[in-house]
Amino acid sequence: MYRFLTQNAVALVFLLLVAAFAAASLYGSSLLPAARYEPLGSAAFPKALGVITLFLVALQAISLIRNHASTESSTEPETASLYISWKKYRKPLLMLGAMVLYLAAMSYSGVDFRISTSVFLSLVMCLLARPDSPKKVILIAVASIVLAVVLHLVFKHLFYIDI
Amino acid sequence: MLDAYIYVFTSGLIWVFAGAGIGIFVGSIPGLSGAMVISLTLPMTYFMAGNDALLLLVSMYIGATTGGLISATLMRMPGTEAAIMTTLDGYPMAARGEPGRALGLGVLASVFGGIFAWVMLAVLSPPLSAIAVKFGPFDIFAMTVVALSLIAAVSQGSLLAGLIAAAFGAMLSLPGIDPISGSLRLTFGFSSLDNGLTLLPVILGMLVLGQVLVDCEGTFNGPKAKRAKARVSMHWRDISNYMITYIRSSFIGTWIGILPGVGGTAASVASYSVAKATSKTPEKFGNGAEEGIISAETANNAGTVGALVPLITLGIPGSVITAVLLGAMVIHNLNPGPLLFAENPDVAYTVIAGALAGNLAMFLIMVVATPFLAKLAHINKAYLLAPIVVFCMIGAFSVSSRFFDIGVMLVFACLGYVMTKARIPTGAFIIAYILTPMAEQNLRSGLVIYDGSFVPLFTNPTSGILLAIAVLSLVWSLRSEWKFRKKRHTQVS
Repeated sequence: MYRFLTQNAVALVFLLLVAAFAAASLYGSSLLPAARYEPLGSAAFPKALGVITLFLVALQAISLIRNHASTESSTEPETASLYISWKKYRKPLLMLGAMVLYLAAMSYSGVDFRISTSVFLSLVMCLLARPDSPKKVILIAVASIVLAVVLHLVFKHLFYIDI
Repeated sequence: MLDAYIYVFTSGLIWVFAGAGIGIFVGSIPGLSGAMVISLTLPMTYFMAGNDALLLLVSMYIGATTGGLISATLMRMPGTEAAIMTTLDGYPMAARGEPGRALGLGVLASVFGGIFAWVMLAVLSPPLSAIAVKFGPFDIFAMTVVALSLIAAVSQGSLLAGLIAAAFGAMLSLPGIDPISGSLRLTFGFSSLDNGLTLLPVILGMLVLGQVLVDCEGTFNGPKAKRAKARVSMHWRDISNYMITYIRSSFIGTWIGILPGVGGTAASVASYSVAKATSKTPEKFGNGAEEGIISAETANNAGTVGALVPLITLGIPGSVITAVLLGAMVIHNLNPGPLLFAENPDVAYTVIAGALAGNLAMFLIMVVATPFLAKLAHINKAYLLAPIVVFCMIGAFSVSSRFFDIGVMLVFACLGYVMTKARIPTGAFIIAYILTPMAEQNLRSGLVIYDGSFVPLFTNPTSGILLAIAVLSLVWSLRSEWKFRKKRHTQVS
């Protein structure tokens, strides 16, 4: 069971998400008034799609379980697979965290676009490129500031988008 | 029609060259896709006329498909998925000291395939649209059902994964104002959802940021690929020497491109397989065969232009990129679908002329700029991902100056990442997201016209045939999957 969950973690997360959305769709459509001037009404499509989606999710879950049962022969230690999974998702999670903080800085804290963008660009580039000398770090910081200022100028004065 | 060609080849040329140049550049960098750059460019086209915007995006589409040839040949890394087959013979030829020859064959094949498919596009589109404009609501509904069934059926992964992606995409397109009654639905009291989930943040999140998160998993400081000299060298006699391969691959590419959901990759695989099967020297394939490069590159560019046929005549996107192009039409208040030729003929003919101009621009840029682009293809992607995120943020914000849209984009980035990791096709999701409102509106309008009866949906010849095709495609893919599973089960046991 534990091995099944770790090996299919991403697929299961996706199926749970889809099932949750389908359930919400069914619940939301049950609150809608009945059709008055046309045969189907606004609730028909959400209801139909919710039911179809839940059915497909159930089929996929069964398929995952059956596939796992047919390939259940590995002797790899269970803890190893969990450790590898976490390591693999570290950078995407950090990137996502940086994006959320970047958004929060601009929307809630009202930090200037040029400042938040320079910091975001520098941090993410350093995180991914892992510069091996202070000179490279400075270059990244300078490039980030220049890019942020240029983007601000272009979008504010050319496209009239003042983020 | 002539006005559109005059416009494209005079004042529109700047957008053609800009689009083709950017597309080639992005296509040449492994991991960056045409869908990504076109999605990123979409918000910037808000400030352009619809014709200019589509010209830019179509040229970008053509450039991105061809750009994959550079890294596929020089680095053995296909810049785009459609260039996978090119690596099989392009790289061995470059490795044995003929990179210029390999690139030359690829460029010539690309422009030949592209122009062949443009002829088909120009010839087929007007009569097809003349037929399509007579379609009633039930016919249009049946047409979208066919598109969705084909897209789910040929999705990467399994049929079930494709169907789930399509159902999920369809479901998420529903919140907001009901298109028929005008009442709100599935907003759960959030006023931000009153207009539904805006298309652009969904596309940017799912296709661009989702891929950025996937790319983050990679290592960026590995050994650098060897840089080969990349001057393009081509001989016009290659066309006469390999005329049959050129024409056959163009036919295969165009035909497969027209089919919804199949795309340039399948076109190049099919064309390559046929070329190998019919070659007098099949043993050379995989070792730098000239026919191998020609068949793959001709077909993938022909497929790219071929995919524009269902897009401008029926409003059916055949691939993720054409779905984004459809989104561009919606954003520019054009009426994609059968009415495009009737209501906006200038736009329809601009797209057709743009396909020709885009191919010619691509040819010139590839010949002149390939040595420079080959160097750019070695850029460390670690320096590109963060600016891409910033562009996405600005793009999502530009829709309606709401940070809510950026939040939506981040949610869809997570979804795109999870779907990619779970091998659920994001293409089926996006296409269903775009097509479902059209399907719902037409089905309900049809029911109003026919007093609530579903019978005409099946008895009307056009909609009946289209629904039969949808059922057949699903049955065929179910059968293929069942056979595949049975074969795998036999092998395991």
